[in-house]
Amino acid sequence: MDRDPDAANVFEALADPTRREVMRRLAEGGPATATELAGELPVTRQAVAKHLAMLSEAGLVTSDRQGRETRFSFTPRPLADAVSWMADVGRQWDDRLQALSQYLETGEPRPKRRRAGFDTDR
Amino acid sequence: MGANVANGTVRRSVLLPAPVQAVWSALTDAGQLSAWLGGDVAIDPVPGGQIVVQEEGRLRRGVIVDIEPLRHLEIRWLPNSRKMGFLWGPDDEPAGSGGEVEFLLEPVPESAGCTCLTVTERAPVPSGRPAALAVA
Repeated sequence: MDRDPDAANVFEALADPTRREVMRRLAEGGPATATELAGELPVTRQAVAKHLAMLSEAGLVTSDRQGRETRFSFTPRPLADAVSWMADVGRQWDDRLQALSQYLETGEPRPKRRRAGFDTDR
Repeated sequence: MGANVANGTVRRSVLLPAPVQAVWSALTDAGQLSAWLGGDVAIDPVPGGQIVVQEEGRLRRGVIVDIEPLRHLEIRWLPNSRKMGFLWGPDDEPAGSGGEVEFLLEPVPESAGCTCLTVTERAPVPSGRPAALAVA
């Protein structure tokens, strides 16, 4: 859960279908400029620029300025982090729900679980 | 059941060997929550009530955003704070969300005394943006 803040940005970036389309285009077709992307997708250049800014903030694209041109590339790493955040949360719920089921069946409390080294926040 | 990366949602449904009333108590009574989670829980099970969960050495604070007895419970976690003190007044509530968790209880007619519980957890929303924007 240490990746929370990153995961939050990634999920927000992924929530929009146009941003997912921009990402897919960059992943499949390689680096492109905002103008090229606007030419290939049914959105204005201005809208593409906004989406690229958000994807950059989430670390899903990087920009490379060459002369007067800025080319954007897809960087998949945060996607893997987001997926692993979801896998962690899923595992935690599998674990908790098993404990709940057991408690409802037997009425016996679960032993207190403590991590070595108390951390106040994630 | 499963996970949806596009909207940051994890969902689990389980069939629990207890009637709705017992499951509801296990989810809303501090003593019972502490017992089955193996942690320490404080909860004020009313709309806007606070919940504090200490589980495996991790402390989470949340607010109950919806509660319909025997049926539905929804909690919004407050974003993590690196500071020790946490502000609680209505004006102090930080922007964004530390994520949300929702419990839905349904009786199961074909197996008497059992309850179907569906848990949905939504990913945190970046601070500085209203929570509603990102969970859409």
